[in-house]
Amino acid sequence: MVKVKVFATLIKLTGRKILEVPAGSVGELLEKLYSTYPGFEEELKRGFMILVNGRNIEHLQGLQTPLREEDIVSIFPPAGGG
Amino acid sequence: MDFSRHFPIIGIEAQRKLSESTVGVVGAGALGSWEVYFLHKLGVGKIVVVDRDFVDDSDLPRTIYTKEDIGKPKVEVLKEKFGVEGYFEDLNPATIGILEKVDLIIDGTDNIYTRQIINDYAVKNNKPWIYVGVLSTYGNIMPIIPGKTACFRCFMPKLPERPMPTCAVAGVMSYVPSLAASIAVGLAAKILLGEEIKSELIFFDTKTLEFERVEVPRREECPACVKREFTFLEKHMKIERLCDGSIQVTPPEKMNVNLENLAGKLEKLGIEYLKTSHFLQFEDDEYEILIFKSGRMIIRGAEGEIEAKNLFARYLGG
Repeated sequence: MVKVKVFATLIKLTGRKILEVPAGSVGELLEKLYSTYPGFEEELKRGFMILVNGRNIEHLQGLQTPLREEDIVSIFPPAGGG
Repeated sequence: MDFSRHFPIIGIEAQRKLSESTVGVVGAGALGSWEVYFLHKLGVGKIVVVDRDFVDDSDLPRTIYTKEDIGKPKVEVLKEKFGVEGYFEDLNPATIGILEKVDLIIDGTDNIYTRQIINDYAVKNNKPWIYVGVLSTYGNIMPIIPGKTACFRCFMPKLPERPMPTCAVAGVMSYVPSLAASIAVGLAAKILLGEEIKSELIFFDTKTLEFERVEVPRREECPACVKREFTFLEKHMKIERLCDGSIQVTPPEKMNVNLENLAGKLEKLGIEYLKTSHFLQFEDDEYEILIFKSGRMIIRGAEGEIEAKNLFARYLGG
């Protein structure tokens, strides 16, 4: 199981802050989240950042980034305003 | 000011050290004005502020500015109120040398592009800096100690392809920037006093009442803090005047703007627009704005570069 921490508006959709999801890649994980939680995909489109153990997936292999049992995936909205 | 309430916590010697420190604040809006306020109350000796904007009525709910400040350059108001060294300037690779003498930089900007410039400059010159960003009901804070913690580019690789939501478009609650600024100035005190700093991003949300710390490791291939390629000190946002008098802003890297999404946000703000598959056209006060998918923006009614850059930051956050 991969541990997924969701932030901000996503909590409203999942009902919980920490989720445990079996997934072999970030893409697979997202598909599972999309099908389990209605509105999740829509919400992510607003510009969330996905980190695997603190590393931005854009630096890894994007949606193909492999996930292992103990990995922690954080999905949160970066704040760019000021 | 009598700082005796600080003494039981940090001691007289540390307070003296703060009074001998210089901190640079980039941007004097919601974040920047509160950062200056808290740095002043902390007893930091010298505060250097760079900002290119004037106080507007819409700034009042979330800044330290009051009604009588409207229309004045923000740096001038901060000079009057807190005795800062203020520069009414746009921060870019050509002007960033203003920060040469500061011990630490705090982010009060509203866009990723300027943050990448600050990051390149700070890493290159081995200066600690603190990334601070807010939106809606939440905020991010990340302390960056070059060579020790992850840098901003370890975390955010490039300019976002899709524009990041900005406070002007997505909104921000009045009480959010001051909280982010307070946390950032607390971190600044720790850095100035030589305390240990973790490589992490701090996230808070005043709506869900979350406060989270996400460990952010350094990236082995980081172009900035590992390879020392400071491309943002070389790249420029291109700003040119077209024959009809309008101003064209071209971002340093091609973007992929979701026009549909942006149109939806304009709708929420009650702004009428015209949308084609290539561009979005609308009016903002006296300006007529065209935004293309690539991030190119054409503005009619803007007098100069600064206004054009401000509008770009407002809608595309680049």
